[in-house]
Amino acid sequence: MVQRILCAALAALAIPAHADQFQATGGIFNGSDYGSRYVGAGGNAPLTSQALGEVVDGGHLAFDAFGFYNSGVGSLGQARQVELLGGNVFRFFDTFTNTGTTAVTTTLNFFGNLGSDGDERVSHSGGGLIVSCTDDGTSQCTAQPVLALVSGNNGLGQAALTPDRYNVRYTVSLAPGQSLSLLNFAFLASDADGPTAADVSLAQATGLALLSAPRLEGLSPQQVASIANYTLSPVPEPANWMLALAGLAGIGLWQRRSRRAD
Amino acid sequence: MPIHKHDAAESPLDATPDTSVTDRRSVLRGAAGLSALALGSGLVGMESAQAASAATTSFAIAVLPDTQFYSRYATTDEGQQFQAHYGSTPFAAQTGWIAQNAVAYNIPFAIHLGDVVDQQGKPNQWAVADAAMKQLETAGVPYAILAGNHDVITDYDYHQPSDQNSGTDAQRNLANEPYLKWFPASRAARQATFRERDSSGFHEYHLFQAHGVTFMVLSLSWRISDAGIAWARSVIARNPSVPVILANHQLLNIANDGVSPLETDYGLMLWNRLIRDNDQIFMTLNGHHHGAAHLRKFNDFGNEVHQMVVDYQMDYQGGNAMMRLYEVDFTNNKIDVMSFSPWVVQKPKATLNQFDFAERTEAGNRFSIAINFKKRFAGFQRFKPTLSVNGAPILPRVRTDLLANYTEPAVVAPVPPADVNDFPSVAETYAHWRAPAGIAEGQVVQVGDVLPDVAGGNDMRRAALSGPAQVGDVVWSTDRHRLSSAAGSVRFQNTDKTVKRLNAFLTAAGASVNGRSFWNGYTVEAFVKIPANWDATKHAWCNMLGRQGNRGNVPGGYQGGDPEASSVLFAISSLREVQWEVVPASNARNAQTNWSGEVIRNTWFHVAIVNDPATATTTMYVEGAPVLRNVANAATGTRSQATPLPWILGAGWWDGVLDDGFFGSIGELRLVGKPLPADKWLTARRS
Repeated sequence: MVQRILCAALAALAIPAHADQFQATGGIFNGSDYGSRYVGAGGNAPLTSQALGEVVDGGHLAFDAFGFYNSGVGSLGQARQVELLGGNVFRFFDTFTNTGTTAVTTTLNFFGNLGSDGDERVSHSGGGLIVSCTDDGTSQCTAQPVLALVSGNNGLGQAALTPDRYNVRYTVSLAPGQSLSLLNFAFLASDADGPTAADVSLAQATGLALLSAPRLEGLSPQQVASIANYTLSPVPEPANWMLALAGLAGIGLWQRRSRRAD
Repeated sequence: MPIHKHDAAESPLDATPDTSVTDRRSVLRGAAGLSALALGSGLVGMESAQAASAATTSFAIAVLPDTQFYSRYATTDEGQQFQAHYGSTPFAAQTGWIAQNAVAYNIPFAIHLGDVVDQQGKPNQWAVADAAMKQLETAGVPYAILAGNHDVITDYDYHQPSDQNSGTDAQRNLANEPYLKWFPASRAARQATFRERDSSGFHEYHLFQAHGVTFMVLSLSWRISDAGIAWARSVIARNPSVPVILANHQLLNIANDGVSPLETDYGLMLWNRLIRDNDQIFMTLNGHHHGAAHLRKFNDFGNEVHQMVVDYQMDYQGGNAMMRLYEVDFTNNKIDVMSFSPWVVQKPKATLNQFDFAERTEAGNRFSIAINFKKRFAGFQRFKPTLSVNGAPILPRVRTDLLANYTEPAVVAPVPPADVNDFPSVAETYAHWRAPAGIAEGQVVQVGDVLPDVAGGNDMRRAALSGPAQVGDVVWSTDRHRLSSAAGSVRFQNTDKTVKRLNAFLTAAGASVNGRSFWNGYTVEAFVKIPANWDATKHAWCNMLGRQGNRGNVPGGYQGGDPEASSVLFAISSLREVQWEVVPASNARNAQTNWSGEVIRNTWFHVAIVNDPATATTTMYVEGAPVLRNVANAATGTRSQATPLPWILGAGWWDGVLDDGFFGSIGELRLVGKPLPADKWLTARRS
């Protein structure tokens, strides 16, 4: 456990709150309002059918409606813990339980409607990470944040982005009474002074860091143990160290650029 | 403070569209100091072009809610009531207006929401509808049409999945359905926009273009089968990049407050089986439920689906030809809604009264919906409309032109009573029951207590309790209609027909009014209020007034239905209509019935029914306005039994016993043995 905490701390070091990065806003729907955290059931609000725990906006038009399961849940029980962590990272922790008397095999679809409105520019896709931004029409990112969308590191999640719809398919089997949890992240990178190429690099570095060392702060050991879409390393791998260092190096680059701008 | 999605969805049409509040993300964008021009290339290009031209790129869709009473009461079967009073008819006025103005106001398409006719078995009603819709065809204005519950032979409602096994298009004998004869696929196919009907022939879809954007209108008749739903899904799948407007007869309802949206079992079935996982459906329209409401829901893709219900049929003149325009405004990312009557402005000025409106402007009838079309359609198309270079907003032009030669009718404000005797006294009054002076709010009316006849001689007394009735079920109240000069009213509470809980007042056995048959006609008046919790399951067909005795026994050889019922039914129907049904004196073979539109809960209203032998009419007035569904060729009076029997206030009669107790308040009730003009009614003042 100590090693895991160390790993998470290193990942956190890789994505410190930077003075020149914008601050994401919660926009997490809790059934009647929008805040920075939602803990409760899955599903939809009465009457309007708006998804509980979805993120609207997230800051600078990042999302139209992001981070909910729009198919496959069926009869499974669903408990959500959605929150905006420090460093512009949204974490979606969902626990599914087979409350029936027969085994259930289903494909759960984690969904996000991105704010690009179809003008998507994907710079990285694979291995549980998609990095994307809104194309301004000249193959450059607009002022909307660059997104790092992280769906797990063990291949359980199959992620795709078409055209501005983020879908991650998780095919799972649950025996009666059995539970499992799925962990998803969305990181938003946006320099407060406007889009830079470094935002893409930061998003990619942070996404890779979250893949190798997912941020688990605030989750109980039982919750962590139930995560199905990550293989959690007992000790930091050399590659993780390298990624963390790469992230720190990236921050250093922005700091230098920012100082020049000041 | 966070801004809720539902706070930003709808705004009064008069409000200048404000991009800072129409979209939550826009607010946050503004807070972040970002300009709109920094967002998305498509939008950038469009906004730049608009800024340069200042033109509006928009079009309007015309929508016709339930036309059933326009079709019915324009027929000779019903005395051609519109023609007789106004020299014109509402249905033809609606489609005529669209036909004449489609080009000027850029209306590429019209939608009929069903209940084309009121009685599907009456060819004359179909003929009225046929002629009206033909005006669109002649003018080349394409339209989608669908069958409502009144347009099909079997009218079963949907409440649960097993109901799909009865009453849908799949269970009908298609060869017998009049809708398919009057509006067959071959007729629909004459329109350029038509693409296909399903195998039953009840459901159809069209594709029309506006400013280079193709839209689908998917028009589903009541009630759609499983196969019909599968067809609808396939239609959408075969047109994967097209935004869809879904037209239905039933989907959304209106809550008891008359404003809030209320979901129906049928609508939820359609939501779960068709709408929620088809992102192309961004807007639904339906009629059937009386009133207007709007519900913004979110589909499986987190996108908005705007559901709107509108149906004016229970309003004055069966809706007074009220119809809608939906202006789809690509420039300002909104849909503006206008509800207006092209008929009211044509009516002879002398016929206009306080119930005539050229436009309905309350919030539920005039509003604006924010839709960022590029964003909303992004999942299935690249939104690239052809921008107008000189377009101007449509609805303001319609409004200006509509009202150019129209003056709202001057309404004389009624005068409240000065005292309890401030009403016109009429010599031929047979009975005038009203709450006595000195009553206290909530004071229980004891069994045997008197409801006085202020005309003299025909007092009523509270009848003995029976069944589950309690003494506290009837109380005096100081609540009354603003124009009633009585001290108050009598309130019937706790009524529940499911357990036979009812209460009543009765005249004495020898009262003179018991033997009245009204051979010179009559004027019956009442002030009535039904409470907010009036519920059809407990209170439908609750009677304000009746007479003891089976109507099958009145002299004159009654041959009509329900011979066990009273010869007078003055009741509130399951649809909250006022029903006045009597066995006339001059011809007792059949009952004759007047029906009001839907009355509003928790609101006092005055009802007058005037039977005039000189004109052979029986006319019901609600709040002073004649209702639409009156009796043509009316017989005279209402026949008493050979051996006179008491009158009943607060309940009806069925085969020897009191039945269908009233739930609500009665302020005054007066029986006069001749027709009276309005200046002699209880709403007028003594001279």
